[in-house]
Amino acid sequence: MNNKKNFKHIFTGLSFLFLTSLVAAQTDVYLKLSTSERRPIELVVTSIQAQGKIPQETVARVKEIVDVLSDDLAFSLYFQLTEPPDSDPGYGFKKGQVLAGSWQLLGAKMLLIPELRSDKKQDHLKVRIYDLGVGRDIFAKEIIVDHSRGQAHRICDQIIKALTGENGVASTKIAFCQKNGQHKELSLLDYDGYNLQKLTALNTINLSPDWSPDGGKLAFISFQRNRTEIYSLDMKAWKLQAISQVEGLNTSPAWSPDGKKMALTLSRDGNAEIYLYTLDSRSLQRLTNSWAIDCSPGWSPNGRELVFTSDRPGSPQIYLMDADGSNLRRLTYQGNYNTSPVWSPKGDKIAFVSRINGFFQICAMNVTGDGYVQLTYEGDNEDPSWSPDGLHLAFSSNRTGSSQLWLMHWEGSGQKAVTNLGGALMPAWSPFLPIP
Amino acid sequence: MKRNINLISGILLISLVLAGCAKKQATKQEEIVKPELTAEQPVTPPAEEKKPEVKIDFSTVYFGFDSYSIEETSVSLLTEAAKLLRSYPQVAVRLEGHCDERGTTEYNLALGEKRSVAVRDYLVNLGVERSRLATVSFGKEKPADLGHNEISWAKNRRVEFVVEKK
Amino acid sequence: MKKTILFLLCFPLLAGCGVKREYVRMRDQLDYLETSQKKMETQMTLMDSLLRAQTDITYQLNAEMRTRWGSLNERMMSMDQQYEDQQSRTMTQALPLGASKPDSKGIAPPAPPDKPKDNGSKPDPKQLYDTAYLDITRGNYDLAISGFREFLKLYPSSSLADNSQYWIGEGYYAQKKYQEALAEFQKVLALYPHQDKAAAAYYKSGLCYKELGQTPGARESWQTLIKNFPRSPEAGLAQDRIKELP
Repeated sequence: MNNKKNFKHIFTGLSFLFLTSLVAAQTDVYLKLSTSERRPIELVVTSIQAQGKIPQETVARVKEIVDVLSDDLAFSLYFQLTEPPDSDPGYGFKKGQVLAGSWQLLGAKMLLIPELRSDKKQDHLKVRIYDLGVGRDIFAKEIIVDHSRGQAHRICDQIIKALTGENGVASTKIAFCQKNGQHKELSLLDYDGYNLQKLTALNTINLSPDWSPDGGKLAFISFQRNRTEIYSLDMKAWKLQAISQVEGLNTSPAWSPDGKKMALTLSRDGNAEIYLYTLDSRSLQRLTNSWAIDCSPGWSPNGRELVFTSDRPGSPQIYLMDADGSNLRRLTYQGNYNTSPVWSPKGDKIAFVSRINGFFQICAMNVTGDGYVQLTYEGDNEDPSWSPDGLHLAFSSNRTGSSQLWLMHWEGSGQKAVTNLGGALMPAWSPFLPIP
Repeated sequence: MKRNINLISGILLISLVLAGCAKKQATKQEEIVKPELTAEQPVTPPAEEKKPEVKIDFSTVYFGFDSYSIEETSVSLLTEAAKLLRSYPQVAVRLEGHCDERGTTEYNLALGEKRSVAVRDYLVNLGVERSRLATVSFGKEKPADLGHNEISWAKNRRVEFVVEKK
Repeated sequence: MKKTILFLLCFPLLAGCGVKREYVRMRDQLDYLETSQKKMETQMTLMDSLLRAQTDITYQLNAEMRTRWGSLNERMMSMDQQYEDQQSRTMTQALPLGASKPDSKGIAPPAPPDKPKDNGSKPDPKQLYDTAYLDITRGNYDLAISGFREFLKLYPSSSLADNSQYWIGEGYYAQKKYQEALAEFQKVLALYPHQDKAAAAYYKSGLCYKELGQTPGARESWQTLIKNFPRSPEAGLAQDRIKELP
């Protein structure tokens, strides 16, 4: 009885906190998240400034690249993009010079000016970031346009690095399970849903992809031998390696941040428990010991703690422990079904799946046990995966009928589907990948 | 060709598992067949188990939502199954645990395993040798009924008996 | 002569009569034996089937009992777990941060009277603690250690004091500074021997000893842990670690 009362109090408290934090979040999206206290920068992407005579067709094709860049910048949360007036392509410029006042009138602090010139058969695109406050360029980069989306993604990350010192996620990838009849094969996408590549053709069910921290390997569950086993796919050497094939369950691989260990769920001792597997020495250490289900371990960014699902209180809930199995704490007390926890790379939040009114929703809370927030509201939503900068989440949702991959920002805004396939689930957002 | 590779890798895997049994961990290297990005090949289901000549039918055991305890209604069914297994000592079965679609993939894999283990333990308590009862979980990957309502879900929360040896 | 012949002729008949009588008697006996054997056989089949049924019932009862006992046990354990979760939750969250815990046994430094709502000089205790803990998760160990030290200085009698002390140890351990870590974990045991971080502190002390090459210390820490907190998850882990000791 008492517990129930406490719970109610805490819940009211939490929902109040949630409301206030939402209001705050709208103005200070990354105030709390970024190391320095900055607001998103109001940016206008101007029309393409053609140097000399360039065919309209070329301009239109380069515009596609600029649009990709604009989408990247807007999604990054570091910028707030304002549209320039459509009607007048020459707006805000006079003889190639920026008329700061007319841009400031639109609320802009900075401009992204794409300049295009052509020689012979090559198109040169110069991307300038012009700070209206100081009246000069603070970033400039010229490329020979190859019309690949990757080119735009790389410029976006360079801009973010130059302006904020942080790594951008525009060049990251998302691995996931693609439904193919009764089978599920691993596939790869750019973070924005383009550039689909199939990774496996094992003609079986493959699940739970997990990136090695260097981005070179994917660990996953495969039913190749009609039971769960864990394999690792080396994406450079294009080799498949068996990691764990013991009796019973071999599930939920989770690479440690230093890449030397893997947390796994095995049932070799009779019941689903979490184990720590050291890859070099092939030694196995059992971390949990309960009669209940313990599964889905996820690492804290420092590699010293694990978050996982356990049904030891009678229903699945989220627990924390040190990565040696000691210092166990329960994190979730809301509802009677909380699973699939993932620790934000920033260290402060844990996203998970919660069953609310019969539907599965992505929720998040602070690792300190407060700040519970429901992030999705439509259909069933599963498999949260953090972007490596901790500002976004990929997840799967069946809200449009079939299961597709979706992205959203850390506080639940900007939800958009990035696939339209026969079925897509279990996204795993890559770490920052080395630029090729 | 592909089939050969599969066969060889299968043999490799098995021998490795046998070799690695004591160490609990087996590791192996295998070439992965790089998939063609173009043609989607028609999917062939994995080879079915050969049906034994002695026809033995086991009934499927059903469970409640997020539950792995044997229900009262399954008791007589399991007693029958145990009797059958005791009178055909040459028969071994694989107990396949399944879940309904409501629930997350990894948790359901663990739940399916719990269900198959619950059935196995019940049969062991009924006098069937543990060595004749293998367990495997498919989580929510292989629903018996593709519907999205309570009737379908109830049919999917189950442990199926698959006869492995006769 | 005729008489003799007659007699001789009759003899077999007479003898036959006697034999026949004997034969009938034997038949009767045989019949009786047969029926009684049949009876016995049916009785034996009956007994056998009864026995079989009994075996089935026994098996079933056995299975039934074990399963029920298992699920009861599980239910009990889950209730235990819920109670423990709730306990540790109230310990870390629900208690007002300034209040001292009942079982400090006077070892804890005396609580200075907390000045209520001294917003100007003192940072919010929850915020201070959370920030330090986030620094741990992000790997900023030195920042975290100084954060927790600050917390202990300002709120020595808080219900999160033992947690703070534990995380200081963890901050050193993560940096492989095992001597310093050991000293901090020992402080958890000295100052908060009955609170929720004690079992983990024993376990971590053992790990520190092991890293420092002091096997007896490790063994003693883990044995004490098993003795004092036999039902903690750490006790099970300690048992595994003891087995691995040289």
